[in-house]
Amino acid sequence: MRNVLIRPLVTEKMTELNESTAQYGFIVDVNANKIEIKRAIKEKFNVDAVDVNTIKYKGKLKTQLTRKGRFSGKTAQYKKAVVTLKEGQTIDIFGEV
Amino acid sequence: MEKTVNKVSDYENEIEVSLEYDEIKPEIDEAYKKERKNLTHPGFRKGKVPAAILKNVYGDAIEYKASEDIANKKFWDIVNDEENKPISTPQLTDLKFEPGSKLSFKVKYEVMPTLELKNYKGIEVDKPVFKVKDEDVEKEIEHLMKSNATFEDADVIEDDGFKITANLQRVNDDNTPMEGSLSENIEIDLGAPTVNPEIVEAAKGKKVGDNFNFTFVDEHKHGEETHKEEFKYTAEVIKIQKIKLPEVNEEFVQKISNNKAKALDEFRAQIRDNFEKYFEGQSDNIFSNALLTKLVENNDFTPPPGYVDTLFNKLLEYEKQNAQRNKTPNFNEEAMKEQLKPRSVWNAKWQILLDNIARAENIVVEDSELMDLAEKEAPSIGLPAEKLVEFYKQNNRTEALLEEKVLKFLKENAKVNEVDPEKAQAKKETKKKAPAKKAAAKSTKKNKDDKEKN
Repeated sequence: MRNVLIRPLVTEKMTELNESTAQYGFIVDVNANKIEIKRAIKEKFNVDAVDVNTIKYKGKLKTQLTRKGRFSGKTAQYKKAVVTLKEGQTIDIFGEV
Repeated sequence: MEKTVNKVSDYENEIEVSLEYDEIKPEIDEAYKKERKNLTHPGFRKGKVPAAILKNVYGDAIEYKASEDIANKKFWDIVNDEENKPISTPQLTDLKFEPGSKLSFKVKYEVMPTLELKNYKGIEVDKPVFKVKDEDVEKEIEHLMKSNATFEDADVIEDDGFKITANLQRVNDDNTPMEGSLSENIEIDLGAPTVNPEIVEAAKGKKVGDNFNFTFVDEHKHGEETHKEEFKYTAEVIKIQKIKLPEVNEEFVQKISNNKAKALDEFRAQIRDNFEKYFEGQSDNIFSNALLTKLVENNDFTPPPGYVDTLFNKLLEYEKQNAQRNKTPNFNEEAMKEQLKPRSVWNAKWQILLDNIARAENIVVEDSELMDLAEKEAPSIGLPAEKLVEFYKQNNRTEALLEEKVLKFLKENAKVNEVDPEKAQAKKETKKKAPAKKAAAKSTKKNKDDKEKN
């Protein structure tokens, strides 16, 4: 069984969103869809998500020049989900840090 | 808050304080705010990390660090209200902090000991009374004449009324010049009392370009041993000037005294007056020192070591600053430390005695006295009297005034024996010689007896 929620997104911007619009950010499994995320949130924090917005980031191409030649690779791709909760509900996100 | 003060010894107290977390919460929150400015966390700019994350990640470290500052602050808040204030740096001996629960700490600190004062009134002390002699006044006038003398070029050195400029070369025993020991253009006033009489004698009759030799003997002591070293010099006369002393008339008197005296007799009276004032000051200093030395002798005790250290550090700092200000070459800190050790012990004893005498005799410095002083000094300093009083309070002026008052009290209650310093010195010397004579007589008698027996 895969883990849908990988880690909470704790940044200055997300902290502001937590307080103003009850939106919480998570890094989620790349293959998880919005329904699965909603369900995972309910299971983990016992809160209801009214909206889930997802953004998929492609891995970046990285090149390294060495004496032995050029090496190319890619960073991992990831998916970010911004979950809006039902009014009055909160998640203790800092307990997760 | 719970606090208990335990007396550890005559001069040491230990305070035990216990505080609930709610009582220190404002200070803890303040510590978070302060630390937040400098902490970084991924995802946040410096200083923007939310308090909740700070508590989660760095909470314990911040609170433990804050607990020491809080203990320090609370300690000073408590002891400032107490009668017995610390006289040296307090020591935090135990600190227990349970985040979210309570803070307790123990601090040991030295306080002014209460002494059983002995013989601080009616101390018998000799006070030297210096008398100004006519010859002192004449010597001063002579000195003033010399410092206002004019010089006239001359061909031959006739007597000690000349000033010469010479090149001084140190020489070896075989009169060959010593390398690197040539001092050029040295001015020598042959009439000065500090000049080697051999130079004056050797210089007599010499002309410009002539040479003369003299020796200089340096005698100094290294502990008990006396070191004697002889330096041989050759002097080459470069310039000869006759010292022409000014005529002592009304014009000279007016010039020297800045028009304060018009006639010579008036000037003499002024010099005598100045001498008397100076001698009076010196006599009072000697008297005060002798009085305090006797007071400390009469009430000998061991002062709190921490207090002695505090005074020692203050004195050392003062001496260092003095040396820096005066650009003293080769300031030896270790030698200075040795010198200051007994001084700081003595100072600690005197300060403790001072405090005890002030308490016993109810001597205090009132705010009105500080105000009077401030009003007196305000015009020359250029500050309002109220501000000056604040400045005095912050800069231990009250302590200085209290010391003055206690010293005045001790002087008023002392038995003063006015003595002639010259007679006292002669008496001392006779006393010194007497035991030596006695010992010599004893040994002669013993030798005689031994011979008779044989």
